[in-house]
This record gives sequence, C-alpha cells and structure tokens, in this order.
Amino acid sequence: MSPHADAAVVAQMARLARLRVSAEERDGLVRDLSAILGYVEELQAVDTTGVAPMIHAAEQGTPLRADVAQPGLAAHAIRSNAPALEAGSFAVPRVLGQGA
Amino acid sequence: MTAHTATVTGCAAAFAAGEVSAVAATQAALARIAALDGSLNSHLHVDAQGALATAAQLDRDRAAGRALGPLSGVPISLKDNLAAIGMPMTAGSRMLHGYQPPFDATVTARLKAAGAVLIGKTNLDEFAMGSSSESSAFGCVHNPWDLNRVPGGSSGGSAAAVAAGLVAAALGTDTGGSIRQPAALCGIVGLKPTYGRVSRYGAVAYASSLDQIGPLTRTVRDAARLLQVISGADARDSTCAAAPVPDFEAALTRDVRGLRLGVPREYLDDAQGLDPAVRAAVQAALHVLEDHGAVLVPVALPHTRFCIATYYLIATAEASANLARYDGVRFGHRAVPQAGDGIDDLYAKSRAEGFGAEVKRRILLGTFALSAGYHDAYYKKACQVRRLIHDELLAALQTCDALAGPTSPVPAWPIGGKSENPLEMYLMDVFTLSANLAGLPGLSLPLPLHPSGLPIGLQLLGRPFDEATLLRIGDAYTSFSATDLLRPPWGAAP
Repeated sequence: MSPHADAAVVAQMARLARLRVSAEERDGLVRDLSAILGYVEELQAVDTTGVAPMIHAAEQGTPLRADVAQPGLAAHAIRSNAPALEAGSFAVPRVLGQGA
Repeated sequence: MTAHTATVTGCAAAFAAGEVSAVAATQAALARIAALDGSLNSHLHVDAQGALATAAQLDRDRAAGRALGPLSGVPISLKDNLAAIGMPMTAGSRMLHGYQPPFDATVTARLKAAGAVLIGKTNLDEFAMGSSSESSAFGCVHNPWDLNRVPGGSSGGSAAAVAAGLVAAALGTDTGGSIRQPAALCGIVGLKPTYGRVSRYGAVAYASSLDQIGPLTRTVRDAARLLQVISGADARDSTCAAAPVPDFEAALTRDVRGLRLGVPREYLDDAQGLDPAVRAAVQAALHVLEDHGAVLVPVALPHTRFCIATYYLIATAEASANLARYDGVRFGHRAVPQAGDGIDDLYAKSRAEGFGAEVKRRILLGTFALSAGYHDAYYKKACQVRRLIHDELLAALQTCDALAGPTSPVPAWPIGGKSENPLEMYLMDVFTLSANLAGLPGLSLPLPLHPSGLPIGLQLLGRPFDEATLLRIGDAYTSFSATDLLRPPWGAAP
C-alpha cells in the first residue's frame, strides 16, 4: 500500500486537527507529508504478527491516591491567562447553530 | 573559579565554604548573559531580579548558619517548556507568548528547595519539536563552538548556555534525543533519565509516552547531583515511578573493571550516514574504557533501522492529541474573531496563527496516523514495532551493563543546512530515539573534538532505573580522557 498525502488528505487532516492551512502552506505540506509517509512505509516490512502494541514506556499501571481533597489552583490564577473573559467565565463564540 | 569554568559541584562547594557569595555567583552569570547572549540567543527570559533576591536570601541563610542544600548558590536555567512561577513560559511558540504559569513544575520546586538560583528560561525548538533549535518562534540558537552552526535541539538553548558558561547547568526535556543530542553538539554532558524517574508535572507535554526531563551539565558529577535533586515519586504525575532513588554521586567510583559494555554493530560498524571521524572517536573511547578493565561485547540490534519511522509516527500521534489543548479559549494565542465566526473558526484560526511550520506538520502527520482508516496501518503498527525495539534492547541489556555508540552521526551542521527538508532532519535522531521508545536512560558524554574542531558525543544506554551505572562509566571515561574540561574558545574572556 502506497500512502498518498494529496491535497484532499491534507485538507481532511487539517479539518480534523482544527487547523487552518493556507493555500501556500498546503503544497509544501503535501510534499513533506508524502516524503515522510513514503519513508515510514518501511514498517510494513516488519512481521508484527501477534505482537501486542506498546503504547506506553511505563506499563506498571496507574497508581491511585487516597480519595482526599487536595488544595488546587485558585480560580483567579487559572483565569489570569485567559485571552477573553466575560463575567469571570471564558468567552467563546457561538457554539450551537453552526454547520460543522 | 570564574563563571566560565564553574561546575555545579564547584559552585556549591565554594558557596558552602564561604569563598563566594550567592549574589556574586549570580551576578557573574547575569554579566556573562548580558555580554554574550546577544550572540547565542540561548535565553528567552532572564529573571535578574528574582535570581538576585534568591541569592541574597541564600547569603543571609548561610550567614545565619542555616542548613544549605545540594545546589545552594548554583546558577541554573530551565528550558522554556518547564513552568516556574514569576517567569513567562512560551515553549518557543507564539501560541504561548505572554503565558505566565500559575504554578511551579515539580522539578522547579525541587531545584528551589535544593537552593538553586534560577536564572531564566532557555530557548528551544517550538514545543520541543526539532533537532536544531531553529524552529523556535523567537529565533534560532547559535552554537558557542561556531556561531554559524546549530547547537542541536530541541534543548539547544540549555546546551549552548551551559557550554558557553552562562550558567552552571540547565534542565532540558528529551522526547527523542533533545537533551543528549544538543549536549553532544555543544561538548557537554546530557542525561535522559529512565521514563518515570523524574516527574513531568509542569512540563509542556509533547509526546507523553516518551517525554522525560533531565540535566545538561559540564561534568558527569554535576549530572548526578542534579538527577539526585529532581528524581523520585510525585503524586502530581501518575507516570512517575515509586522506584527507590540511589545515591548517584556515591556510584562515581571510576572503577569500570568487569563492566560489560555492549557495542551494537548498528550503532557503529554498520551505521549508515555515520561520519567516519565520529566512528573512529567512539571506537577510541571504547578502547579507553577497555584499557581500564571494561569488557566490550558485540551486540546486534537489527530493529534499529525502524526507530525513526516508529518514533515519528508515535510522537506525532501523541503530539496531535496533546496540542489539542491550544484552542484560544483558556490560555494561549487567540485569533481576532471576524463577524460570523463560530467556535471551530476560532480554533482553526488561533491554531493557524499560533503554531509554526514544524508543529503544524507534526500535528497533521499525527492526526493522519490516528485517523480512521489509517490508525491500524500507522499508529498501531508503530506501537507493535516499538515493542520489538524495546524487547531487543532489554534482551541486550540482560547480558550487558550498558550499550555504547555515538550520540549524533555528525557534528553540528550550519544553521539552515537541514531546515528545508524535514525528513533529512529526522534522520539525525537515529541513535537517540531507541532510549525514548524503550523508556531507557541515556547519557551523552563529550568525546575529544572532531577534526573540524567541533564537539561530538558518546552515548551510553542503560537498564531501566540504572542511571547509576551510566554515570559511573561516564565519570570514569571523562576523567580518563579529560573531555569534561573542553570549553569553547569563544567567550573565554570574563
């Protein structure tokens, strides 16, 4: 199987990643991603029959702590980096009613 | 002792003995940054006021006879993807321009508790994605051995600052070699600890199954001192292991007799693209260790050739998920909204404006690797090959105490020399990626200079949680060869 990062694939990935890609960027991305996907194609030659995917370097599991309230960051500290606030809340454009 | 030649242990000892005040050591570091960093661009932020206040307090503590820490009076900088209260954190990206973290990373808190004087934040490839420190939104970093060359990356600011003697040490992060490779290209010591050895709370996440924080220093003993301070379990990072932390400096016996040092042929004899002088220097270093009693063991790691493809699929997949948090809502860059823009327009425009080219490339590649229809052939396949790479390394380390080879296949290249071709840049990481994929500790040590006059590095890989053996070999080698005394001629005047 030969991968193909054509303009349609780049546009689809950009949509999934919520990343606007300009027309000038698109051609370079098609070229670079095609080269990279062509390179990683060599993995298909490795026999991985029955090999469990290793998704993490630490496979000891996730430790749990006691279910006791801990002090956290103050709300004003978290809000202090917000690009836009309204009445102490994060401001966003209209979320509903958009054709997505 | 001047700032230009200072070591961590030397600074701490001089301060403890009353030979130098913390304020004087801090002023010396600040003076060198003021004089030299216009040429290096190693620091994105210098907190002179905060550093001098910390130093003055340390001087008062010493005068009052209070207990000192293992890093008391030592000027240290942090890679700018590690949070410190009172200093901005950009991760080298326009996306985080102006961001002020409201908390300390665990490593920051531990350095402070150990008495370190935090000087500033060092430059890096944007979001630590790069091998040359050229993808920073705030300009590239220059190598103090040759200002026209890259310092390596992504912790290039940390490496350049330590090599040039601006600070005694710096912390970096290593996802695919980002501590070890710049250390090699700048002629210093760089340690990537075992995955889980050091808490990553407060580090900007790039690829969470691979990222580790570690020290860049001039000597192996300095690396041991810093590792001691930053290691150990942390309730704020569930991947941080409860493994016991040994006394790393006590391991520095300079005795390597009987240690079995594996020499993978894929890292040396059969390595493609390896500079012949780098190969010769590594072989010479192995013979130095052999002369002192180490046993060289031929090893085969046939899956090495798949490390780059495996890494760039897994790392970008994880990055595409981690960087989804930069949406222009809670923090970070936000595009100016246009009439009629909805939430998706805000996300897409903010991210388009905030991220640079390499970050966009990796987000899209990672999105591809995880997307429906491609996931099994790309991400899952890479995770399966990752296990083969891991198992092969662990098997070799059952019969060997450590594995040895070059850190980077070549010395530092000219700025702009590889930035047009991302794949060519990725190939530079061939020897460093395996440690991240397998979660192993890796240590880069300065070798004698390349015939070009540039630094090169020897890499040691060890068993999980056995940094002590790597540090022991590294301390022995650098003392036998005196390569821990290498200093760039540039900036030697105080």
